Amino acid sequence: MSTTTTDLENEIAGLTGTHGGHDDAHHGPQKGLLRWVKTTNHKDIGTLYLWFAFIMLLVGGAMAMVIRAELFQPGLQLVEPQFFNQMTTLHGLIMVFGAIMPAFVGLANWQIPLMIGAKDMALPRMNNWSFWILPFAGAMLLSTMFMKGGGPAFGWTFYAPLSTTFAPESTDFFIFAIHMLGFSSIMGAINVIATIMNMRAPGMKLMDMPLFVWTWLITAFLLIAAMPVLAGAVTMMLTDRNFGTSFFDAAGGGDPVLFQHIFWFFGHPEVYIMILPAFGVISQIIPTFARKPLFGYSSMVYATASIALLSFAVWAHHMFLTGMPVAGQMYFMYATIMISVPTGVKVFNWVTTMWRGSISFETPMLWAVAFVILFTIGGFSGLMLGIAPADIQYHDTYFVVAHFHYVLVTGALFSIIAAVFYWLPKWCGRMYNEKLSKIHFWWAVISVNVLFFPQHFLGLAGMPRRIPDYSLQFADFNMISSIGGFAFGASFLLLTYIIVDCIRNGEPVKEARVWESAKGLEWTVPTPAPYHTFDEPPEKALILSESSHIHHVSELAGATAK
Amino acid sequence: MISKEEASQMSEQELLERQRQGARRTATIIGLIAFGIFMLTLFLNLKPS
Ligand code: HEM
Ligand SMILES: [Cu+2]
Repeated sequence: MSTTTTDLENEIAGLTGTHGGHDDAHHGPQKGLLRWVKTTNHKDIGTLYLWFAFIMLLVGGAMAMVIRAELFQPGLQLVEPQFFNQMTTLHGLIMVFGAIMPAFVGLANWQIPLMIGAKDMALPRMNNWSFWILPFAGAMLLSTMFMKGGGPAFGWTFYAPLSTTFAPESTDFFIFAIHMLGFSSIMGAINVIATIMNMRAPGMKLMDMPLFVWTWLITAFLLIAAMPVLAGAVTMMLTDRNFGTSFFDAAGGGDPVLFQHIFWFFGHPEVYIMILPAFGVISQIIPTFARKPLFGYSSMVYATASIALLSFAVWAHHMFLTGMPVAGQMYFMYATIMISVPTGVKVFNWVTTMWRGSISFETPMLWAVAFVILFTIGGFSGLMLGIAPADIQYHDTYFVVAHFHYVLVTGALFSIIAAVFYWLPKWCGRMYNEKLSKIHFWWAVISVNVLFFPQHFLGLAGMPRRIPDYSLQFADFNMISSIGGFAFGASFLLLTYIIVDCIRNGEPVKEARVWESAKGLEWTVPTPAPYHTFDEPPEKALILSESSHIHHVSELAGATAK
Repeated sequence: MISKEEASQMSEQELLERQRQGARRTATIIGLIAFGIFMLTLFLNLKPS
């Protein structure tokens, strides 16, 4: 056996008695800081991911504050244009790869084993590795800002030739950081797939799984298909920059538009990687607080799968203005609009789950309802952008910025906040301050709309994105947007306080089922969740009775008869 | 998936071993697919000069 044993190996050793004879299967966490470096426990690793994501959210948020401060008034006020471009670029990269994606992996680590009745993730040691790559990749990405020529300033989409021929020297470090981030995501996805396919409690069928687990399974397949393409794209950039190839250089027979195709073949699935787990979270929370089973469970599963498949067939809706043939524009327009069908199914199911429920609005539910409404606004602006002739007007304006912030901030990020409020009491055994949390919710929800809604108007009026200065007619809405931005940014200080206060001084929670009408195996383990759970896999009858959706009657009868 | 009936025949340790064996197989297959997609991306973009 290797020198570093995993908890599972210890456990096996304890059972077979090959471990010095004593049963150390139920040891708690190791003491001290090394616990976090060496841990293979899914709960520890989940916690690490979530804190990393939170820190990155604050770093990326600080960059957003610089952007909004510069745009508060027309004219160049605070920063050099080159630095401004670094801010928009790093803000996007850090939020996507440092905040949203790791936060969802953190939720997956905590919740998937608990929700499928497994002891741990399937590959605990690889799990440790996936996480510990991240701080190094993040640090490398941030360090580019201090290098000669500055950090990447070509936008988070790093189009060639801006990112090849005309890029600063630090770009090679950026490429290395992306390689590492991609490697970490791929390993994380492998772990999720291996866990869900192999570690489910005996007798748990795929269609018995909670939706959060389903959406993550599908997301993991998206990651496996999309991240290697991104790795390929940055590899070609690397060889173009350093080894004389010309994949993206027209002078050498290459094609810069090819870069955009490759990027968006990764990029569009990527946006669904960031929203499918959010759909899963919302599908867990709404039934709990509406006190009704989830409406249309199987249609949710099929809708998720169709969104995932379609997401590989629409990438060029980001490229309507690259001079593609009309037939191509027509195809990508219709394919894009088709995605709104399964998305509509989901929104319909959430609303129908709430319909005539006995709803109560605890903080997680507030965030979930806000998600449904505001994400839908982002979906609608997406539809508008998908209309090829209209996109000639909208493309590269603030309208696009408004669109993706509605889907990513009030969509993905809101669902993460909802999930943290929903599961935090289970994780740490303490309740957050409900009154402060509600104040925080209303503060954030109002300010985020003040921040992003006017950007629709700016875009429709023609203000281009990614510029540090603008003409005078855009001044009013930009000032409103910046004020909303500062208020929204400040709301995260309150959020930090609420979370730290909950973990340190919150009211202790004793009930295993923190929310009285919550369903799911995670609510059958004690609160706070012990370091090791499900030593004994749960029974089939428990799996069925804990499911938040309705099962076929015959199945239920069969399980309880035995 | 391991069925209820099969699982009831196994000790806790056997079950865990079985699950982890399956997990390693899944991981290998998925890892190879990922690597294949990476190579395919590069390969499809190579042009004879
Ligand atoms: C209802 C489904 C959606 C449709 C029809 C849609 C459509 C579009 C279109 C056509 C564009 C390109 C606009 C342009 O550059 O001119 C776009 C941009 C974008 N969308 Fe969506 N979208 C949808 C959902 C989402 C979701 C769920 C996310 C993420 C969670 C997302 C994230 C983005 C991002 C990040 C961009 C901007 C990329 C960039 O140029 O920097 N979209 N969307
Ligand atoms: Cu897209």
